[in-house]
Amino acid sequence: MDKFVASFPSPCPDEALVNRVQMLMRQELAPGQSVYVERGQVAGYVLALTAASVPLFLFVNYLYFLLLQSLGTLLAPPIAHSFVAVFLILGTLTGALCYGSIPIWTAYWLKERGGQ
Amino acid sequence: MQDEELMMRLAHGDAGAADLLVARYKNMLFAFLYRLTTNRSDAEDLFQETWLRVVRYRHTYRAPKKFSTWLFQIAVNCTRDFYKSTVKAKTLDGESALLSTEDGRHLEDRELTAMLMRQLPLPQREVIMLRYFHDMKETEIADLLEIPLGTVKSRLHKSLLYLKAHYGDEYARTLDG
Repeated sequence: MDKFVASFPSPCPDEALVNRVQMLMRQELAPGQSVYVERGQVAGYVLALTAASVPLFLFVNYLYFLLLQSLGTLLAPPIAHSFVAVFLILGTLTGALCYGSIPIWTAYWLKERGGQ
Repeated sequence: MQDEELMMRLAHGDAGAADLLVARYKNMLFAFLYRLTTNRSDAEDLFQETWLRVVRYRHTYRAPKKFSTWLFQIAVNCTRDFYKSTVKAKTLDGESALLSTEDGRHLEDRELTAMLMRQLPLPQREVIMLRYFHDMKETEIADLLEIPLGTVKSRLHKSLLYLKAHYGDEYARTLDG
């Protein structure tokens, strides 16, 4: 194979090409360019936002709980308390997760599409 | 300064580290892309795109992996994307970008070699390039291309059989020298 390899020499890149590439790389590195975010980091942001929004949703759902408790007590007293407690917990977590994850994943997906 | 340290600096936005990496690998990378495409214009476009991807995906580089392996992986992916988006999918058409030479006999071998490479499908061209022009071991090629070792061996074997079958005596004359 030596002759085969020797018959196909390797040219060097032009200096102009190298300079242009280095300039473009500097532009990519300039502040303000989009930052690459790994999927793991996105998941981290989602969890952080979810955790941060839990207190807010807890408060909103507490008010909702008071309303439902009144209605439950009025319409079906035996199951009113446990039903509302479960609803409160699930609703808070689900709401926080959805409100946290939807905009972040949408933005990430749009960036992935636009960057290719 | 080692490549891993330069990449760490690049990850923090150090443009000087980028310049050093380009200076260090420009010839090796360009040679690989030129031989893969046998076209200088395409090689230049891919050279630029490869380095831009190095910057864009600098945060995905993980130190235990050799930088040269990661760089070549990006180059291979760039080349594959390029041929997916053009009609030059498996074999190349178009003009040869051969260099001129004073030695007429050497030019003939060069033309033949370029023609042989152009006829090979891209996956096989990749392994031939890495194995014989960049002296990579088959295990290194498998790691770089993220394919099984058996696939590397199979592609090498098929490439050599293909070349021998299609170009017979001329192929033998070129390779057995």
